[in-house]
Amino acid sequence: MAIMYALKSSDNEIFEVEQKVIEQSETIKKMIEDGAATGEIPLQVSSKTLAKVLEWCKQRQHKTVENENDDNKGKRKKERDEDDDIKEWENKFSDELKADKDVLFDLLLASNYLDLPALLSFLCQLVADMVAGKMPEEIRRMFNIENDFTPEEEKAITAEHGWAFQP
Amino acid sequence: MMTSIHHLPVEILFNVLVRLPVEDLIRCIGVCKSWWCLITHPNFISANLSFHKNCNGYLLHHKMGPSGRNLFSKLHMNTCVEHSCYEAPFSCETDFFQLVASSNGLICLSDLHHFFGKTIYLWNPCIWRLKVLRHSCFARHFRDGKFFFAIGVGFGQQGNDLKIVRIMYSGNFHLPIYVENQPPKVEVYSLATNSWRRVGTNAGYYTIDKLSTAYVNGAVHWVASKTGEGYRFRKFVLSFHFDSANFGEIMLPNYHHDGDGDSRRVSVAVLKDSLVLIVSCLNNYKIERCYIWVMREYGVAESWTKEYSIVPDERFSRTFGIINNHLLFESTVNGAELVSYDLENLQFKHLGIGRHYNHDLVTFSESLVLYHEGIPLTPRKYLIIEGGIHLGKRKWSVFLQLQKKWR
Repeated sequence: MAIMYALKSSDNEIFEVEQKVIEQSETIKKMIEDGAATGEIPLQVSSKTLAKVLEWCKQRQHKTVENENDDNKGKRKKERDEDDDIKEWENKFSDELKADKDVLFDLLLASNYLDLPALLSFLCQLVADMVAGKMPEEIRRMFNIENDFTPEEEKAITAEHGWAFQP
Repeated sequence: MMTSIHHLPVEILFNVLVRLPVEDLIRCIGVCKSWWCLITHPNFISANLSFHKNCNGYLLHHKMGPSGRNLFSKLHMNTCVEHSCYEAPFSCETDFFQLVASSNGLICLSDLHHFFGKTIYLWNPCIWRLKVLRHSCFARHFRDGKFFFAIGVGFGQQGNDLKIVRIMYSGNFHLPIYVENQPPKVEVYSLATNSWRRVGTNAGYYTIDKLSTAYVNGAVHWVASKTGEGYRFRKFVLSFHFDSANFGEIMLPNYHHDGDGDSRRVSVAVLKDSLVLIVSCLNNYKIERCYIWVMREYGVAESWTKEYSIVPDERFSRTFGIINNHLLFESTVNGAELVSYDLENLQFKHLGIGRHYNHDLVTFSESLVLYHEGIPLTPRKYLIIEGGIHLGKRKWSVFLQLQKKWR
């Protein structure tokens, strides 16, 4: 019987999770090891975001468990199919996040807070891919950034780096 | 209200931006002030450098004609597809560049032949920044005119500080004579401190192959020979260790019986973090056979082992050294096509690239290094820059006059 833990989101929703799944978070793992995790574990993460975090953790957990149970025979083909499945799942996951940037940013904050290196690096790469190939104006619009350069400064930057600003 | 990316802690933004290639980062500089500060911060520049350390490509230096413009083509490492070509937007005293090294996204250039090493150009082609090193601790000796240089590029053991060692010999370029009372003068440049520092002499050593250098184990290596009575033609490897600022000598293996061509050419290179010696046996200007000796234990002459013996199946005129476990040759057919020899699979591969006037082939990785230190250049515009002076092309006569004065 797997050990279950109860996570409490900032809006007081309870999530029942297996220890193995939640131990991917270095922060929670430490809390469990220190014995601080008795009863409900309160987290500064909204239920919407926490659901996403757990979705990711379960997918990762699933992957590692299956790999452990595999015997070598036919492993390669299986692995390849699995890789395709994971890719597909990741694509779906990132498409959802790209559509809703609030969730994306909340998830970034949560992965940082919960210390989930794999998720953090996945999300950072996702944002980097969104930025790649875009002009400054497009990037500002996409991420709601205010242009705080004075016209003079902007002129100087364009003069110096103008070659990169041509599509 | 929509959340802004600015609600994220700066370390997350750092983690996002560090993944971007240089061209995207230059565009990101123009987004807002905080991004500009973050991207141009030295810590970010070095983090970006380490993140992309293994994303290397080839850089081929070639000329449009025997005296044409200097072009630098960036090639994809696996496919060898050319994805950009830069023209050096500045010219040197002789207009013939020698590529000395490529590291941390910088190309280190100097004049070919007589003026080699006198002025050193550090160029970051991705961000169009240039730094010209014209100073020297021994500048007052420049007036005599009877000197020439050898240079080597490397790093200190700590961090990414690019360093250049320059050995100044007295004598004539074509007829180097070791003068007992004029030992070579040595100085080291550090990009972090932007200064030259003299480090004593390497009395008695004379490096012969100034163009083939190898950086490994914190030291730069040349094939050299000792001058003075009784030493003539005895070759060895001269090393300069950047942290200790000491020269060292490494005995060469007994390669004199390798092959049976009319001449042998030796050069140093690096293979899997080991110092190696490439021995090309030539017959009638054609490489008959190539041997690679690997120094298995650094600094131990007994550990030289002849590990590869390569017989080309076509006419090769020379080698470009070793890049990522591949020995690179220049073929004499198909317009000087480049051919690589995989040292793991022992197979030749035609790269489908090469120009009639190939000069050098090196690895290249993009970076923002020199963003603060270098002067910004206008891409692809033909300019003459000498000591920071920009002159238009039509002012060639002015440049020639100045050049006389500087000499």
